[in-house]
Amino acid sequence: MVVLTFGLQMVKTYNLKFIKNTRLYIMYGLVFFLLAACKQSTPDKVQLVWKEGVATGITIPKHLLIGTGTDNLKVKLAAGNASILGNFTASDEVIKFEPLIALTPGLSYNIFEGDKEIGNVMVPVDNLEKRPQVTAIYPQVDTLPENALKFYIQFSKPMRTGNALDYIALLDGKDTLKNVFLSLQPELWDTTGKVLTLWLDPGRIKRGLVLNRQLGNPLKTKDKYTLVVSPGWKDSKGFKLTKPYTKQFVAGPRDNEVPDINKWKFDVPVAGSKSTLMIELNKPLDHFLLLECLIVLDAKGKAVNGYVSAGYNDRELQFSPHEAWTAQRYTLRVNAKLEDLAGNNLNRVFDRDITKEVKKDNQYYYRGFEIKP
Amino acid sequence: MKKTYLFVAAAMAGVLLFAGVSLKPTAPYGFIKGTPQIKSITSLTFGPTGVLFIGDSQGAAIFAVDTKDTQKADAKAYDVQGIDAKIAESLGTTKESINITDIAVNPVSKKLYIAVKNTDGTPLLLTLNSNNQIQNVSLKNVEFSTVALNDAPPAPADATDRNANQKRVSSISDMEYADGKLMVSGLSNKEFSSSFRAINFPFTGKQEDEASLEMYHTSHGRYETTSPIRTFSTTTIDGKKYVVASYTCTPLVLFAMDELKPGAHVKGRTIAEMGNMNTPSDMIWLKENGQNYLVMANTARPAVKVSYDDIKNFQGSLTQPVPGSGGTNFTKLPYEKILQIDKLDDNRAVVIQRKANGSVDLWTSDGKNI
Repeated sequence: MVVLTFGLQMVKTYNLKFIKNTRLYIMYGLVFFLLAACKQSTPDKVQLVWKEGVATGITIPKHLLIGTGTDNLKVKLAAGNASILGNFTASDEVIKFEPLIALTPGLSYNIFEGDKEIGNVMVPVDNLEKRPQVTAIYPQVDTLPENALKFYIQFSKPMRTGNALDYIALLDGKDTLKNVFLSLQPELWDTTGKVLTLWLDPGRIKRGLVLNRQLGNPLKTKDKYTLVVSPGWKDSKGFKLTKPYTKQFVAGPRDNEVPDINKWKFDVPVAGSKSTLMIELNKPLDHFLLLECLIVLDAKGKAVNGYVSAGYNDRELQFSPHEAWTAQRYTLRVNAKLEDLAGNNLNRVFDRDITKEVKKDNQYYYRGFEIKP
Repeated sequence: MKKTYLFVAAAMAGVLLFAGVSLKPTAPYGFIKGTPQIKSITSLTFGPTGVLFIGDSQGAAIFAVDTKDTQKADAKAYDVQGIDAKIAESLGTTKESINITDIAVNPVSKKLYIAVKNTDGTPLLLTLNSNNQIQNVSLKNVEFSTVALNDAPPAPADATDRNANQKRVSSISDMEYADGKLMVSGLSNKEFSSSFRAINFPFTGKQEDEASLEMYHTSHGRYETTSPIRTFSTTTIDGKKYVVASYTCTPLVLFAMDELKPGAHVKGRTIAEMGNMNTPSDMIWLKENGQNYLVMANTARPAVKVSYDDIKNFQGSLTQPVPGSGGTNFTKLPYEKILQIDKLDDNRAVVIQRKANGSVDLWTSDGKNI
């Protein structure tokens, strides 16, 4: 009985194992089938290697080669003679060439073993890619002081750098103004490559300099101007701006005053709300500096978490707290680096007349405000 | 007994461990081996033998890299017409897709180092040997050290638009190594300010070794600006060391180096004003007929030179209005649109120039004029 039971159990166990194994075989078979289906058949010609929409290299099937090593291999531009700098790495069936920079859309590349061309490949141009656009030109106000110092041009895509001034012009109604922008190399782009800082030549704005006396400010009060960003400027992928972008403005009087935070008007929310603190500035300020120069401190001096934004063409500052306001005295702390459109910051004017104007040396400026119950 | 064995084993392991460390040669200048995370190469300058300083404006950092390129060699003239097209061809692209961001001659090997930026932002470091062959300098697994340049207003956690800070660029306008110090002038893509640093090399990471200061100047004794420095060099006058700096708002200003202390506000002496669109983009010292000249290159206008004696003898600050460019005398040189320049030897310069026909050529001066 015992033996029988044992035997039965043995049979049972055997059966189970059999079923399990069968399942396993089927699974393996499936996996193998899937793998085989996924695996590309051995390439018979040179192919591009793509990574996130960019052609980063070329694979060369080994059967195209007479030799075995990579020493004799060269990749050249179809329209060039020099070997392209890069690395060859060999795997079982192919040799991969990775150039120092990505391959350029629209260009053809030839692969040589010694002097014999063994293949060629062209990098297609992606026509579905969105074209770059100018998304904003700062300052956004339509009257700038005649000693305005800079513009920011913001694009939807990272742009080609190094020739920005070929695509930017300032017109005074009749003509393109010459020598108004400071030519800087490297140009001043933000870390995303999408925002260009463009200075009007500070040598022409600073009082007392030969340049200022000879040529005067680039802008003259009451005159009308158009800043033009011309089409043709390519983004980093080679796509052009498809239309011109313009900003029209009038030059107003010279601004020779430091921004004074005591002249700002506060529209203070009530305790218990998460409403936005609205601050009306007495003059438009630098868009990007506004966003990074301000924080709100509570009565204990701790920073209040929230979001700073600028509105009304940078004449208004908004602070939206993450938590509700409580009844207490808060302080707005402003970094002295904050500038207006003429480069005057909280400590000093852009070109200080040392016989008249004083310079301060504060790191921050403070302005208190009360949230009432 | 077991304890004794363990102790002996531990001691042996210790000996082996330390033996391993001591056998490994330590890299000079506190360098570590690895791959520096370089986001852009916007300035190059050589320091002590074989050490290349790489200014990374995008990453707001400077890297000191041991190039191991220390074989002394004689200076040979470089001459490549259409250097931009030639570099582009070696990279498999077109000249429109690349920018030559800086050049530097290794003063020991006389090899020319060229920093290039691809249109997608990829930074590259190339060399040109005396046979005018372009080669890549791999920055993987090199000995290096780094110093961060951070003068952004400190962003309180989550209290402001943090993106605003991330997009800040403290662009490096020029770098020069002299007397154990790496001097760096910078400008910001946001505020109009002057930032100048004197960083002790080897980098220590200590704040007292990284003096950050403001260098300002006054025009005609009256109008004072904290304008950014565009390019600078160093010189010695009557045994005293000076920085000669050219500002984005055109004056050429002398600063005594011993005043460059942390946090200082140093006032310079204006010795000249450059004319319209005449802010030099680079300056080097060269000898001509035994005389020292400061040669200033310009991307838009002709290059100029000013003699050391004129700088030395220009006493007092520029206080009187002078028609045209004022102060110390300049000699205009017959070379326009010089994009890059560096010193090859005492008398000669390596120049990248955009010629009238549009070609960007690399050439070496003959010791006269430049």
